Amino acid sequence: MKRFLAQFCVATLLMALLSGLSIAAFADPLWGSTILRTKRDELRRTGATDVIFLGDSRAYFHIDPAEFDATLLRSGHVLRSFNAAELGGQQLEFLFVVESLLADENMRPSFIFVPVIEMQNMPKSYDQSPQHLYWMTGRNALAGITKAAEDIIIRRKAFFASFGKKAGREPADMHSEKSNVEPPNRKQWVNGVLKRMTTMRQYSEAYLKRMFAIHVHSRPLKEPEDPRFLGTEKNGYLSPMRQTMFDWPFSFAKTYLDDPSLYLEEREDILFAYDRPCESAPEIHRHLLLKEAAYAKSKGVRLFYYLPMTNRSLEARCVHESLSSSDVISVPDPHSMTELYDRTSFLWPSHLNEKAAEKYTRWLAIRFAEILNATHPLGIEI
Amino acid sequence: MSFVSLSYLALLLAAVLWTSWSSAPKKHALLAFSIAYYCVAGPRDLALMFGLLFLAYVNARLMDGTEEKGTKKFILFAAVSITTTVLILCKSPSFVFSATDEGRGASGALPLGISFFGLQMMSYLVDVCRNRTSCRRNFFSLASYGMFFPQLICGPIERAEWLIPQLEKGSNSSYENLITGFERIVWGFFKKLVIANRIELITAGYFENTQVVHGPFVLLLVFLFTVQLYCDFSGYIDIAIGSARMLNINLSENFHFPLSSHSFRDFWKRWNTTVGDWFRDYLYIPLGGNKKGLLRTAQNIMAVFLVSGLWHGIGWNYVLWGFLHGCFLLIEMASGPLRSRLPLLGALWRLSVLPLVCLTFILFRIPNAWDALLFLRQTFDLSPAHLTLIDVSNMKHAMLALSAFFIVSLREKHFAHAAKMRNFGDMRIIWAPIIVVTLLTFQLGIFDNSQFFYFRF
Repeated sequence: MKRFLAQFCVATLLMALLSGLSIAAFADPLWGSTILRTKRDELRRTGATDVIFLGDSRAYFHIDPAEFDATLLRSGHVLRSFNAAELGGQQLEFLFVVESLLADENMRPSFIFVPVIEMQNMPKSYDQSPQHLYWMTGRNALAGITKAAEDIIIRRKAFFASFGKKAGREPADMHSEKSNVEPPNRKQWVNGVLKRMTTMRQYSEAYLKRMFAIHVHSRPLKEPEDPRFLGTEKNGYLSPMRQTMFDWPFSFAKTYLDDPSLYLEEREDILFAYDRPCESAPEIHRHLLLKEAAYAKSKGVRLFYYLPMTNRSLEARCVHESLSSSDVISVPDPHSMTELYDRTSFLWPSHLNEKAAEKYTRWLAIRFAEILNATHPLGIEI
Repeated sequence: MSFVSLSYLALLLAAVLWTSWSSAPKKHALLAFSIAYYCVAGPRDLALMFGLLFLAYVNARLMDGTEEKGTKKFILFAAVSITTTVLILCKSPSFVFSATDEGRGASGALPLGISFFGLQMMSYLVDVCRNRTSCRRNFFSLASYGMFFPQLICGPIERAEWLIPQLEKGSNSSYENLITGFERIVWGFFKKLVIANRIELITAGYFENTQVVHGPFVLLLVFLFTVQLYCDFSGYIDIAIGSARMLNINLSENFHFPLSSHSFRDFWKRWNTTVGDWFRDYLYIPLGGNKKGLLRTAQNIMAVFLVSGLWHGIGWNYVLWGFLHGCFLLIEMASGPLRSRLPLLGALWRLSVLPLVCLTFILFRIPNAWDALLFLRQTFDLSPAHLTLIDVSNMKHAMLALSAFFIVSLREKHFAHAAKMRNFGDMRIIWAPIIVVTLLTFQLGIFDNSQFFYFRF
């Protein structure tokens, strides 16, 4: 038995080492998305593309590159476009693809269209990815522990009831759709959390510390000041190998939660056990988009942030509006292009039909041509 | 608890460590581990298992306490009837449990492993009645036999006289058993995660939209599903046998390269053999086997296959599957003399065995027999417009999966049994394939928490 165990341990270490090396050396950075990989290969094959559209199913169905090129040609711009959108794409993924495109000189276009959509978790469809796969089991286990702990500590009414009225109102009341209670503002919410934390800490400080550790551990953060991989609760871009136990940025908390006096002190076990990532997501989202645009510009590529048609996310709209740059394209004006908003233009509620998609593409091309005519190719205002 | 989970590996490691360092009989520890394993299924399923165990224990004791054959048979009849009724109730979706195929599994309505467990308990009762095995006076012996966790959910089905003595022994696992068991587990994971799950990824979409598949792709899809089913089930069996071997317990082999069968009779000697042997010993032979004339033999064969179909699940698709296999076997028997006289006919029959087997398995995937028939009819639609609906890149992945299957089969046929001849002193020879296969599984496997296909039976 001892002989087997010793050999087993050595073999496990060797496998971990080899696996890490092979992931670093061979894994396709475009994860498991077959569509994206196919499109990337097609891009490499054809080469010399000026405009690349990224996006989810809306870009996939709404933007016709041939129509776009033809409209641009009529406006005097000879450009070749390519629709690299995929079904079910995510915001973080688009930015990752942008970086892939920027890193490869053969594929680097002059313009990239990136949609502004709601920040979400990485979809499960990426489970073909070696990188994702390799760590998924451990991450899922951690997420499961976190969720179980949350259920026990935060969400169970009976648990809170046992602490009496001191515990304050439950977070479930604030987030429940069925609740008639008006949602409190952020200050009230944080106050409530702190009160509960204070009350609970009297009972089990050690347990709360452990809770916090679990929460932080489940977040694959690289560095406190790098908000790239925030915005989602269980996102998984960086491998947990790079994460450290207590790297949660308290400075970040001070910046983004508007009332620093609410914090009792900068202690590791206080607030973030109850963190709701969506609280600060729009700011992170905006920061991320601006940073990416600046990075692209440094590589000679101009990013256009467009709001997809049929976008219902308030967060995406707010972020989009807050990007006070010339490189932003909104949706067609519903007053002047009523036909695009007519029910007959839709294949189903979130997607235009083919005819309307053509109209939308023409509108997008005209808007793009207008911006090109009015600005420097790299987006520097004339 | 699925085999493809860290929790299972942790449980197995704990069990191996416990049984290796303790010289006491393993049955109590293994029973505790088995209960821990099965607890995930929920208290209802656990209670049901213990109920059936208790029924078998009490009835076996009653049979043991009497010498009268009539009384013994009556007790046996009562116990088997109750067990069969429970099985039927559990498997009948519309009767007691409102389950669908999708809903079954760890959290679904069908108690996990009830089919295999039920057969094992019935075999124990019959063996006690026939004095082939001694009645266990210790409930824990019987419980550890019935609930032995590596083979609890999907077999292989073991006879009491084979498994219980091994469970009652206190000997430690040898290095050879540990290493060969571990190797078997690694190959089982490879079959399940790399071949079966990857084929599922390719075929699932087509089986949901069968109308997009036409021409030869229908047959390819049918064959892929058979390979998936085989790799899924035999992968499970490999993990079960490997796990048991690490615990110093030998389980029976359940597959002997069934896809290389040259006749239906041969196929049933190679596919799910422990279940096949069970039906032969406890149903076919008691019905008279082939000793009571041709007509009675045909009736018995048909009865066995219909029951075997129903054992998979209560549904017309399973009945039809059993019926078709019964018919094929009868045709094979009837045409035996003719085939021996006409070698060409014999060769044609041999070639048609695998396609026919694959075609029948489609009833497991498309439960509605009429839909399955319409799907198969699309084989004859060769219009170019329809053929272009298939994504060729998927077919490349399918070919890769089939190549992996071919390599695994070759290895099993020619190299697996070479383990005995290995020099266990040379660490490199032992560990090199394990490390390579593990790395390949990590890199190419699909870890999507999907259950084993046979869990639904």
